[in-house]
Amino acid sequence: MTAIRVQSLHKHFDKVHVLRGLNFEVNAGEGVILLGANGCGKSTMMRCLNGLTKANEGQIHINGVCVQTASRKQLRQVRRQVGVVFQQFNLVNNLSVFQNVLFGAIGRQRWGLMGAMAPLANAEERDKAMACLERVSLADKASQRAESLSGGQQQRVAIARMLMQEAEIVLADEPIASLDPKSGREVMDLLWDVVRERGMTVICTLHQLDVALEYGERFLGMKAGTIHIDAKRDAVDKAILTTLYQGQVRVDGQQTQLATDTEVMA
Amino acid sequence: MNADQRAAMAAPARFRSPSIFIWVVIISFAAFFIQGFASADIRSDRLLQGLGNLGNFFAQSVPPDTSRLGPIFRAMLETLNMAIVGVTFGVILSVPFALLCSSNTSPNAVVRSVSRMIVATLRTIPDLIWALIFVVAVGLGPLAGILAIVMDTIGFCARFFSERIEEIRPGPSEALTATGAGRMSVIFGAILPESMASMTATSLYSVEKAIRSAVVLGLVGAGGIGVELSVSMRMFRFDQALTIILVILVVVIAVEQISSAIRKRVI
Repeated sequence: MTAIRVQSLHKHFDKVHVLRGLNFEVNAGEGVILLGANGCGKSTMMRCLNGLTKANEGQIHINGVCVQTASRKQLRQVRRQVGVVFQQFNLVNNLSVFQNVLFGAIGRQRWGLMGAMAPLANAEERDKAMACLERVSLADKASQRAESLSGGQQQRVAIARMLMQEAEIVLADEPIASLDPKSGREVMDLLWDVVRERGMTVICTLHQLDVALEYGERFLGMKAGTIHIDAKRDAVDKAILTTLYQGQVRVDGQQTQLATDTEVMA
Repeated sequence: MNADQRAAMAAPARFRSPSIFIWVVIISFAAFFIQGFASADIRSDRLLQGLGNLGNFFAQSVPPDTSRLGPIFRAMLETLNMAIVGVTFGVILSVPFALLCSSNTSPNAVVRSVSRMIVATLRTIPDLIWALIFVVAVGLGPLAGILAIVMDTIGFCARFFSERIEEIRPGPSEALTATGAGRMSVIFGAILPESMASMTATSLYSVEKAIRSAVVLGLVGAGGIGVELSVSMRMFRFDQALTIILVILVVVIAVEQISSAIRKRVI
C-alpha cells in the first residue's frame, strides 16, 4: 500500500524555485532516509507533506488523501496520521513534560485541547501518555518543565508526543542535528525502534552519512530541488551518497561550499 | 594590487555629513526648545521666590497631621482596590485584543488592523481624560476610576502582549498544528503558555502603573486618595497633605517591591 505519493511537486518562495518537480512514493511500513546538502529543499518538502507549507504545483497524497485539495477538516485528519519530529524538538518550554506528551492527543479529542490538558484529560489518555513516556525512559521526568531537560531528553519527549499521537507516518526532519554524537545515536536508536515496533512509515532526513547507512532501508537523495538518488540499501554506498554534496548548487542559485570531509564523514 | 583595488578598499570617511532628514529633525528640535524656553518666562527671581514658597509649604506641613489617618487609610484602600480591579479586568480583556492584533493569531488582516486601531486609540487617550469621560458617564466615585484604568490597561497590555505573541518561537505552535490541532488549541496550548512569563511581567508592571494613576485619578473626582489630597491642598492644610503624600509614597514603594519580587520568581 502506498502511504505517501508525491507527483511533480513544485514550490517557489518569491523568485526562488525550491522544489523542481519531485516524484516519489513511499510504501506503508518503509523506512526512508532523505539526504541532501543544506538548502536543497529537504525541509521544504517535509513541510509540504503535511501541509505546513503549501506547494505551488503537483500533488501529494497521504494515505490516499490529496493534501492540496483537502478541506481544513480533512487536512487536520491527515495531520493526525502524520507524526513530526523536529530538529529543535519544539516542546512548549514552560509546560511539564507530561503536558507536552499529552498534546499528542489533541487531534483525536473531540474538544481539541480541552481533552488534552493534564488536569482535564481522562484517565485513559493520562495512562497512555505515561506509557509513552515510559517507552522513551523518561517517566521519572513527567512533572519537570520541558526546558529543564537536556537536548537529547527533549527529543525523546518529542518522540513520546509523536507516539501519543498514534500516527501511522513519521516525518523526522534532522532529528539529531542539534544533538551531540552520543545522544544523537541514542535518539536515532530509540526512534528507529519505536517506528519498527509499531510498523510505522518513516521519512527521516539526516546529515551524517555513516548514521544514515546504518538505519536506512531506502535512500532518497535530493539535489537542487529534485530527487537525485532513489535506491535501496544494497545499491548505495558512501561514495554514491557523497555525490549529493559535490558541485552543489543551491536552489537559490548560489554556489555552496563543498561539503568538508568532516561533514561527510561525521 | 593596482590602484583601483586600493581605492576600493579605502576606509570609510571619518565623518559623514548628516542627511537632510537629520538636519530637519535637529532644526525643528532646536526651534521648539528655544521657543518653549522663552515662553516659559524662566527668570532667576521667580525661581528664588518659588524656592521661598516651597520652604513655606514644608514649614507649614511639618509635623504631618495624623488626626485623619482613618479616612486617609480608607481612601488609600479604595485607591488600591480601584487599581487591582481595573488591572484585573484590563488584563483579562487585553488577551483577546492581543490575539486579534498579532499577525500570527489574527483571523485576517481587516480584524487585525481594526483591533490595532482600537488598542492604539485606548493607549493614546491619557488616563486622566478617560477618568473625566467616565465621571460624566457614571458619576463621581471609584467606578469611574476603575473604568479609566481598564481602558488604560488594555491600551498598554494588549500592545505588549501582542508584541510578545508575535515574537515567540514558531516551533511549538507548528508542532501542535502538525498533530492535527485546531487554531484555538494551538493558541491555548502553545502560544499563550510560551508568552506567559512575559505577559505576567507586563501585567505586574501595569499594576504599578495603575496604582500611580489611581492616585492621580482622584484629583478629577474618580475616587480614592487623590480626592483627599486635592481637598487638603485646596484648604491649605499642608500638614494633612504631607501625611497623604507619605502614605502614597509608602504604598507605591511597597507595591513596586512586591511586584518586582514576584517578577523575579516568574522569569
